[in-house]
Amino acid sequence: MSAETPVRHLQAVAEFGQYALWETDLDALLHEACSQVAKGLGVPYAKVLEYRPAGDTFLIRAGVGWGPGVVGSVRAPADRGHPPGLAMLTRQPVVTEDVTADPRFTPTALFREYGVVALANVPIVTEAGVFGVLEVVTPRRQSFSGAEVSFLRGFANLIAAVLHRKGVERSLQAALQEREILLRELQHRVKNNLYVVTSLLGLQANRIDDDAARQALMEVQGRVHAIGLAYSILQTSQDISRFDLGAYLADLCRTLVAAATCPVRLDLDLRPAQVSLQVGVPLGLIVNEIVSNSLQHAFGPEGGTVSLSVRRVDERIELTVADDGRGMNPAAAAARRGSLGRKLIAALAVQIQGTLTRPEVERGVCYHLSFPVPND
Amino acid sequence: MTDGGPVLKRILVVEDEALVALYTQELLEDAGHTVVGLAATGESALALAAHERIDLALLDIRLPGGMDGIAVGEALRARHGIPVIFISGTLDRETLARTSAVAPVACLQKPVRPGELLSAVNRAGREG
Repeated sequence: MSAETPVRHLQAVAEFGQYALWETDLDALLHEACSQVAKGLGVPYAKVLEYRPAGDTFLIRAGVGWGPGVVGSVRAPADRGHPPGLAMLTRQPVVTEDVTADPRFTPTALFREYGVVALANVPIVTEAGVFGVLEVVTPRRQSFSGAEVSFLRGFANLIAAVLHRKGVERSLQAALQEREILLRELQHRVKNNLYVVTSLLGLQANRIDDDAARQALMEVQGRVHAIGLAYSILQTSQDISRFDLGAYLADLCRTLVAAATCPVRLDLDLRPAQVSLQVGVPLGLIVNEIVSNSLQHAFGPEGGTVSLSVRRVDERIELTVADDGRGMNPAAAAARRGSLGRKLIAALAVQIQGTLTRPEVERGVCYHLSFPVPND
Repeated sequence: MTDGGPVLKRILVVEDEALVALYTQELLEDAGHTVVGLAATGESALALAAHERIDLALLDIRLPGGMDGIAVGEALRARHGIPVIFISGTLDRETLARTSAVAPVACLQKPVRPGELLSAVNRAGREG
C-alpha cells in the first residue's frame, strides 16, 4: 500500500458519500460503490451480491469489470464453502490471497472463467439483517491489508446506511399512500352522508303542507347539495385537498339550471383556480344563493342567461355571477335585505376575506366577489 | 300522458342507500311516474326485470354484491332493451368510459338535485 493510498480511499468515500446524497436509484448507487472500491483498491473487478433467501443464493446485483450477462443474472452459492457465504454467515470479512489454493473454498464457474485468484469481501449488514456482500477480486495473488479491508468495510457500512434510508423512504411513501386512500374514503363517505341528508330533507319536505315551510326545507336541501358537490369534485381531483373552482361552480350552476322552469342559458368564462374545501364550499354556497335567486325571480317564461366568470388577477381571484333578467326593484330589494340568503352571502364572503360588490348593470343583477388566492 | 308533458314511465330504481332510494321513489311518483321496484343489489334488480315491464332504470354505480351498476345496466340493455340512467359518486374518466358502452340516457353525479333527476328522466321519455 503506497503513501497515497489513504488519500485515495478518503477521496473514494467522499465521492460516494456525495453521490449517495442525491442519487435515488439503488442499482445506480450500488454500481457507483463498486466503481469506487475497485478504483480505491486498484482491482479490476468488484461486485455487490444480494442475498436471496427464497433460493438461499446470492444474486450479483451490481458490479464493475464483468462482461455482459453477469450483473443481474449470475447467482452464487450462499454456503460456507464459498467466500460470500462465509462472510454472510460469520458477519466478518473474508480475505484470501489465492482462492484456488485455499482449502476452505470451492471456486465457482465465474471465478474460473475470469481467472480469479485473490479476493476480499465484507458483509453488508442492515437493521433488517444481512443484505449481501461487497466483494473485490483480482486475477493475481494479492494480500489485502487491514487498512484495505477497513476501507471495504467502510463502504459496506455506507451501503447499509443508504439501504436503511431507502427503507425509511419506502415506509414513508407507503404511509403517505395509505393516508391518501383513507382520506379519499372519508371524503366519499362524507359525500354519501350529505346525499342521505338531502334525501331526508326531501322526504320531510314532501310531508309538509305549508308552502313556506316546505320551500325553506328545499332551500336547505339545495345548500347541502352544494356542499356535497364540492366533495364530489374533490374526489375526481388529482390533488387530494384542492380542486378547480371553475369546474365546481360550473357543475353547480348546471345542476341548478337543469331544474329551472324556463329556458336558461349558462355563459361560463372560467380560468384555472385551485382551492381547498375551506374556500370552495363557502364560494359554492354563495353562488348557490345568487343563482337560485336568479332562477326564482329574474326570468319570465322566455328565460334568460346566467353568466359566471372566474379569473385570477395577481394574488386575487375575481368571481362574477350575473343574470340578464328583470333586475331587482327597490321594494323586492328591501324585502330580501333581511333574508337568510343575503345574510349567508355576506357572512361567507367575510369568512373567505372577500370583498363583495353589486356593480350597476344595464339588465339584471350582478355580484362581484374578490378574494385573496388561498395559500392553505 | 298529457299533451306536451313528459312521457310517464315505469321505472326501476337500483340504489343500496335506503333513504336515497325512498326519496327517489317519491320524486318520481310525485312527477307521475310508476316505480316498479327498489333494488339494493344488481342481482335483485335483474330478478325484478325478469318479471316486470320496465321503461327505464336508474342505477347507482357503486353497489354491494357481485355486480356494479354498469354491469347491471349492460344486462338490462342486452336482455330487455331497457334504457338506463347512471348515478355515480365518482364520475371519473375511467367510469365514464365504461358507462359509454351501455349508451346511457344520462350519467348524473351524486348528489343529484331533484330537478336534474326529473329532467333526465323526462329526456329518456322523449328519446324513448
